[in-house]
Amino acid sequence: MAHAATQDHHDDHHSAPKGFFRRWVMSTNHKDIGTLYLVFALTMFFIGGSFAMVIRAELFKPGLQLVQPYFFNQMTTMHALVMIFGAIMPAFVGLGNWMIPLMIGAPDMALPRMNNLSFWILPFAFLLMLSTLFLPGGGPSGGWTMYPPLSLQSSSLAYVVFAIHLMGISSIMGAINIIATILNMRAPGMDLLKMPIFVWSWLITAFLLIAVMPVLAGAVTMLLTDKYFGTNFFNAAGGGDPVLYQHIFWFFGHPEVYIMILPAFGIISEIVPTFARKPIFGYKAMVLAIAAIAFLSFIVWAHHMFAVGLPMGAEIFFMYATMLIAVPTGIKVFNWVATMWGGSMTFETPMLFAIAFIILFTLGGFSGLMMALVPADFQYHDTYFIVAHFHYVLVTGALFAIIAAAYYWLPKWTGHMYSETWGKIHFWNSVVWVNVLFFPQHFLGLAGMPRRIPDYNVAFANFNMISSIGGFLFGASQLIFIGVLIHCVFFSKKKATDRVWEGAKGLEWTVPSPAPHHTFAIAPIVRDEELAHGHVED
Amino acid sequence: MDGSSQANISGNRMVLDQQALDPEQSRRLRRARRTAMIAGAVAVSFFVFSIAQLLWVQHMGLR
Ligand code: HEM
Ligand SMILES: [Cu+2]
Repeated sequence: MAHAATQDHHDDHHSAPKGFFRRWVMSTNHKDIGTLYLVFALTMFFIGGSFAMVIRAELFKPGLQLVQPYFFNQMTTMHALVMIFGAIMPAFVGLGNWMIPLMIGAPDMALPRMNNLSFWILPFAFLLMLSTLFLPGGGPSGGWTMYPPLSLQSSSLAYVVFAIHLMGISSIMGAINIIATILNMRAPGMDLLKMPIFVWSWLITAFLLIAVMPVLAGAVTMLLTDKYFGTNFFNAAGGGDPVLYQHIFWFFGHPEVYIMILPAFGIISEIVPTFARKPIFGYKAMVLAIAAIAFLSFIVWAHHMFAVGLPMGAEIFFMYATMLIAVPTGIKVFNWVATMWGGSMTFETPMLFAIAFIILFTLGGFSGLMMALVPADFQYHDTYFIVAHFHYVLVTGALFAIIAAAYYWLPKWTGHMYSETWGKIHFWNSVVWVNVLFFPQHFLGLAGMPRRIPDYNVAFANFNMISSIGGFLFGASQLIFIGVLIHCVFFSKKKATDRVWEGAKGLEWTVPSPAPHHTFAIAPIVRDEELAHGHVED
Repeated sequence: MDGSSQANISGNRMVLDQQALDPEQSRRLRRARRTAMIAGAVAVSFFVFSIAQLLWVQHMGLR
């Protein structure tokens, strides 16, 4: 066995495998697997984005112009499934893979071979799901929520259910790995309450995943048996109940939306202190707020079902429970602002995206609060108001955080600086067009335009046209991102320092840029001053 | 404290010797596998529960 007295010596013996197949397909290295996840997520982001372009093109004008209604419904369904399970979630897993071991001083993930399997399941799951678009009968078209009985009519149901099972297995294995890593692999001195908030956010997210992905798997399994094996879980004629599906789905679905935002909270909590050059305000409150949100996310699911006719007691319970989430969320927003307060701030691209996140995510939270009011939701439900809400929390929320993270850690990953000028051009285009795209959808929803329709009343024409223009330009702006990435990875001449950002703290900045294939073969010394949140009082 | 037993403190720097680390590292990995097994068992039981619950709801005519 190699005797690795120093890290450099160690690297000589264990640098990245040479062959493409060995390095990427057989990889057990957390950094390479992280890269695979991120590249996969980026690819899916553009595939899902192309579906969105079809949707916005069809909605550019009232009337049917480009696609058949049935195909339109496949586009809305596939757009959501691809973005949620293919882009946002794998991007966070990729960031977690890359950064968690670096942040806690571990040499790798706890279960590296399972890590490889978690990733390589995904391309097959998505090939399976996307292939349905080319089959007779087309892809799923009943919405990403797959409510029966509508979803049972789709001839591709079995493919989609199997694809979801695969994604679920992948996510569960990823979550297990993250939990096992964080709980067991921390460097000496990295106590739980000294971990970076990004690591905390992933630990809590992983618990959410373990708890709800199996429930989704159960729900879609019951869809499958209802369609093919004669069960009647959701069939009223056979003694079942379609509303039960909705309960089960949203018991998964609401925690799922927090699975897509808690790691984003973690990222923002890393970036803001760096560029404000101040420790995070209220470290423990931030951790507790994430835990509180995670807990509450299990007892609010029926706010997606206010309009199905729940008993009055249930409506009231879920209304208040939902509104409670605003409290820990408010604490987080307050603490980000307080972190910036009096800091010596600079506005590099990651910080710009982080600030846009704080403002625009909060806007999405506010529309959420409006919808949490039962009588108001009777009006908003199934309109474009909902679409506006979740795109603010997911695009300017989750996605902006992912982009911010990419800019923030790219120099550490590649060893090169990206172009700050083009990063800023990307930012300003994104932030302007995303609002042109989604803000008018609030007005459309309030005026009563239903979601998931290919045609609409002429009264909605103007705002739809504005929204579509914003959509095309937002889509185009993301091509700038591709350009920045390619330039940074392959052409940038500007070397990154180890610390990269003046105010950056944490173990990940103590390793060289680019981060060597193996890091922390020797456990690092964890000193409080090195951590982003400084010294935490007991 | 997590794994501090494996560290020799020399000056203010903790030096870890790979050879000395080995049993400790394998102990950590065993513990990590156990954590993973528990988490996996929780996941499987949630899956089973989600379906069993609906079977029960139907069986009892509770809906
Ligand atoms: C203050 C926090 C939030 C509140 C009070 C809230 C409330 C709501 C409510 C009441 C609905 C259902 C509306 C309806 O269908 O009539 C809803 C839908 C939705 N929310 Fe939120 N929300 C919040 C935060 C978030 C976050 C952080 C995310 C994701 C990152 C999110 C994603 C979604 C999605 C995807 C839907 C639509 C699901 C669908 O029907 O397809 N929400 N929200
Ligand atoms: Cu919800």
